[in-house]
Amino acid sequence: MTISNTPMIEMEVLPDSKWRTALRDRPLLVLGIVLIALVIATAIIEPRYLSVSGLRNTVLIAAPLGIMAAAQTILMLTGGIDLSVGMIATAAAYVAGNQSPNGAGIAIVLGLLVGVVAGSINGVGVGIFRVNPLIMTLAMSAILLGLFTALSFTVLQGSTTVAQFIKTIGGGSFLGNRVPYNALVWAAVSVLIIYGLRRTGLGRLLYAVGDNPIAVRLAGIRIWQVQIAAYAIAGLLAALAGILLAGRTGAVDLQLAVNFLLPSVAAAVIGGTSIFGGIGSYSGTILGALILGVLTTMLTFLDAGQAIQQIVYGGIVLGLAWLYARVTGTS
Amino acid sequence: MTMTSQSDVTPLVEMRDMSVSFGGVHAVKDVSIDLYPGEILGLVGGNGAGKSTLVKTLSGAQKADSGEIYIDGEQVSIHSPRDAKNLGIETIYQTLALAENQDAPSNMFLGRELMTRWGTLDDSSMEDAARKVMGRLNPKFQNFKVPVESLSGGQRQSVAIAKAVYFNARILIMDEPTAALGPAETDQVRQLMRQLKADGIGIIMISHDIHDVFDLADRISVMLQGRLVGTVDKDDVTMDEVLAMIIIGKLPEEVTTKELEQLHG
Repeated sequence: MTISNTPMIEMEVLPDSKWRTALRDRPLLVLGIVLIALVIATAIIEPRYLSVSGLRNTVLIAAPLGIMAAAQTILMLTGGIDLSVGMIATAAAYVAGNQSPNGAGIAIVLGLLVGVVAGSINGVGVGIFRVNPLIMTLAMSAILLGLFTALSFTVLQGSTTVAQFIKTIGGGSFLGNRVPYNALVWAAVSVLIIYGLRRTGLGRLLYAVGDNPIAVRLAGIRIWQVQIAAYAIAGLLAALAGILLAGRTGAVDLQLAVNFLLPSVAAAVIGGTSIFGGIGSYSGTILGALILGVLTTMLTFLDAGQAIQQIVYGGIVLGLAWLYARVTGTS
Repeated sequence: MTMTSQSDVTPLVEMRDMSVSFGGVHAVKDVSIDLYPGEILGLVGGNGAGKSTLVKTLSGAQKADSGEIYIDGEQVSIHSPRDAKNLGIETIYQTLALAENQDAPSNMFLGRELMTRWGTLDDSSMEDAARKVMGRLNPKFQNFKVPVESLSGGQRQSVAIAKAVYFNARILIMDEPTAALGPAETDQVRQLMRQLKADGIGIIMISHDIHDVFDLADRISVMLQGRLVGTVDKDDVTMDEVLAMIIIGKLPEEVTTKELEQLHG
């Protein structure tokens, strides 16, 4: 952003259009404008949307997505990705549902534990056994689905509804039914992640690993430790998102969060995080998740089914990946 | 600098009978070199002569199959870049090992970040320290807040060198330090190297550029096909004699006038 005031630097030869410059220098501003435009468009389609309950609904949708996208953002910064976020979230929610008769506290802790364990295993696979992140997390997703399908007939038989406390934080609101509790959780997570990425040693290393892993290794850092930490944190976030989601729907099944995988990647990509690592921020992802939340609401008003929504998300990821490559001039 | 005085001094680095092979191919075979404080040792040889592989065993980036390394006369074992750094060995790589999207201070402190007492990154202290070191090495350098990606080759080289200097490198390995630089920047880096040498730092410089080597090095070690042809005092040899060592692997006393003429044929 300060590049333009330093004379030592070679200037881009390509003539920059206004939008191009804006998107490169002030991505958050551009995303904010897109978000507002979408809200207005939705309000035109359905005037009732522009109300407390309409907007509350969008945040309610965006919060678990935003937390899952946090997992994705952290891993994409390292040059990795997590295709198992949806299944980790589902597994965590399933355990939380099953354990709900023992109290919400135990249910939540055990649910989160599922995420940390699955995430750590991803991290060990990627960091120590050098498995490609796509393969590792895809396999983890398949294994979790198989495992939980089997477990649902045996040890995890029983409760598939979640405790009242989980329903409240996942789907309830306060301040006269205006602000969803899950937005509060999301805000807390956001502060921690933005702060962590900017101000901690681990945060800086996450960027550096995605930027130039060789430089990081030659600096004497054990990359596998950074990767295991990143995947474990991602697992924890996915699990938290899954539990909030279960609270919103009230019941758990093995399809609960499976459809969140693509949107979680989309939110991070919309927010400007590069799938090649080293570039991005969680603030961008937050706006990305809100944009997808509004879009989902809009598609619902337009009576578009789940299938159409997935097509739209897929199209957005493709289109934006192309756009960002054009803007930043990197492949 | 004469070599006779150095025989009384303990070498900063002594590498004895180093060997590295990749799947049966000897990249480095029984090579011994040494380095004294305040000395620049030029390590030269054609492509695939094993220069980079040899120094990587010193910087911890490559495991040696056999051989011994002594620092200040004491035998050490170097298994990782971290081991090397703990011994005061810093390396400046041919393909600069910088995180492109981070600024100069972040790169200098990569993996050794300064922290506040709250355990968070102390960016202002890191920037101050970077300015201080850089002020001594390359006062013209002012771009402390832009990604290093947007810096020129010489500036990037300065960042890499400043990093080594800040962390009190005593032994500096430079792999093709001027290969990617323009003439003005090459001068800048040469100037830097002379300054480091004056500070008592020992430098092993790998280079393809024979002029660079003659300009900077005190002694020259020549490798050919993984073996050491020999080490000569720069003041005792001509460029042609060094070229003969590089190309036909013969020492100045072995090479004939005819062979020297053929080098230019």
